[in-house]
Amino acid sequence: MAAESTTANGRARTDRGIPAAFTRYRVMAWVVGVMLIALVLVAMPLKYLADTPGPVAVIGTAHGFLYAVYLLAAFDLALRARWSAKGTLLVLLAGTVPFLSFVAERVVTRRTRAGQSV
Amino acid sequence: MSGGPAGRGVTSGRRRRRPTGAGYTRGVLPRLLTPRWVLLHLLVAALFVATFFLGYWQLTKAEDGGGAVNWSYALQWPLYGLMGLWFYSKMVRDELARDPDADEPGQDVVLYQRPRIDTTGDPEMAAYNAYLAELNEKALRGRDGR
Repeated sequence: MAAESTTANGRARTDRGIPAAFTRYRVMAWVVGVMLIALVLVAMPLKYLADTPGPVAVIGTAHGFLYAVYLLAAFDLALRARWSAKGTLLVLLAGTVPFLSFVAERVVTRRTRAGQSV
Repeated sequence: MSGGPAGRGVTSGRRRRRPTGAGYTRGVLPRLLTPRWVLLHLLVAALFVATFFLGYWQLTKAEDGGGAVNWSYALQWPLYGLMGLWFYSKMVRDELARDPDADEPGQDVVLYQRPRIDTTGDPEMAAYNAYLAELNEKALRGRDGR
């Protein structure tokens, strides 16, 4: 299972695929985070203030499915990097809260780069 | 996972399929019966059931003339529930496969970190940071050779 990557001096190193999983997580965290902001700050005012339900229908539906992809990416990283159950759950849930998703992504990035688990 | 029809992938079969000797039963199953795990079992079961109620709630809203969002949420809630259950089964399998003598699982992989030298403009601090980066580099190299 553990992916092998090669270090600068050519030796194989087992990194359990964490760097790739980390990148996938970050991409999805940003995608979901930006969509959530668009949903809350743009689409919802359009629906409830300007009576234009189109954007909510599109972004809301797409966000729901992309959040599922985010869950997959985050959980994959959590297993590889051996996060605690509590930290994993908090990161998964943070993806549903506007703005907090970016905070969570920063915390995960800082801790992962420092070699700590979440 | 062992994909494909039965009979193939015998050697790469599920890790759980171990001989169920007394040692296995005694050693492994109680791991999932600690207060923490029991609490987690109950929480996951409750959340799994909840997702179906939430999906049903969205279904009623959709049938009452709700829009595309309600239809998609009616589908997505059970999807989240099933995904959660799948995640949980992976967690349980990880726990069962864990070497009991190993320490608490920690992350022993350090990603490459861009050296952050001289962020302060203080040359003394920059020299110290460079020294730390060098130590880190050495430590990483030492571990690779393991």
